[in-house]
Amino acid sequence: MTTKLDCRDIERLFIGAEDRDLPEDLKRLVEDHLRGCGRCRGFAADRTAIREGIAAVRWPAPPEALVRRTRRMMAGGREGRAAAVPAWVIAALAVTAVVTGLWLAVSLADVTPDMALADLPVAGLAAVIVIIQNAITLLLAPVVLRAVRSRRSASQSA
Amino acid sequence: MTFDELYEMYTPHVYRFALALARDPGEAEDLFQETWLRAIRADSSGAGPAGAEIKGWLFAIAANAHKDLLRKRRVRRLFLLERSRSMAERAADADQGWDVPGRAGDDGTARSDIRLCVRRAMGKLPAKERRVFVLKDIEGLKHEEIARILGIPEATVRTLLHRAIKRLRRELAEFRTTREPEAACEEGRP
Repeated sequence: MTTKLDCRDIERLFIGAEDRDLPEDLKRLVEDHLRGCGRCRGFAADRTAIREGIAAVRWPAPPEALVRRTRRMMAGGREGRAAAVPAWVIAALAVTAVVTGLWLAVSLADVTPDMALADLPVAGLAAVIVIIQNAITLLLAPVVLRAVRSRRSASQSA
Repeated sequence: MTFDELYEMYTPHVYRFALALARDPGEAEDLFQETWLRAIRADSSGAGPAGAEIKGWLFAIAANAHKDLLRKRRVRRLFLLERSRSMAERAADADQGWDVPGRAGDDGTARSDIRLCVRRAMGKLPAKERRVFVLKDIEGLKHEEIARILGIPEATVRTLLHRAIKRLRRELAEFRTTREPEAACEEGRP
């Protein structure tokens, strides 16, 4: 093992030593280095100050209202799963998505990039509207869902 | 052990972890709730904790929930639904919900002010470093356990911890050079 260690190595060894005892030879190396290096002694002293500072924090107990609310939400979650979306609804949605996709593909088959909106056939125009509508829905859905959720949790905690 | 018993037993641990990770008590409450909701979902689907690993399992869920929370916040910022916050604001928020005894100089005002500075500096750590630091210094876990919880190599844990300590040292050095504890620590406090 090399006996030449720089300050960075010593710092890392120092951190490692918090977890498990270092082998005797390494321990001696660290001690020798610390004796002659003010920078590393500073690191060791600061590390102790940080640990003491954190240890002095008295952590508050969780608010009773939060504990009750969370328990209620967990119970709600259990019931929610029991009343999950039936498989036939998911299947119907999947079929609808596939059919819509096919319809869009057929409707937009004749559309070229140089066509103006007025030149589009009725089906093509409808397809474009559906695409725009879906894009807007996708963009706004998270915002709406969040607003609904926060309103629901506010009414639950009231 | 039933899930209700588990909830009773580990509620303080999860709350403390959430409070240490989050930037304010409100966010800590969100994190706390999200952790327990994910835990009960996982438990119901048979992906519950194995034996004595309950605390680590809950911390892993909380750490993942924290990552998701930060990701969502980035997306919200992208769509300008949430404004970006300065370091000072984040540090000021980190003050809330913590209780450091000895503020009025039970063992010397300077010493308790160093504690306040450590606490505030912790609020400025990047999320990855903060998670590792909290698990090490607040929860007292070993590097190996932290690596398992966060799903990263043990060497990365040591590197992140080293970086976190260096950052905290810089804050401490700044505090020592100003030597005006009230100005250094109390600025921006509510």
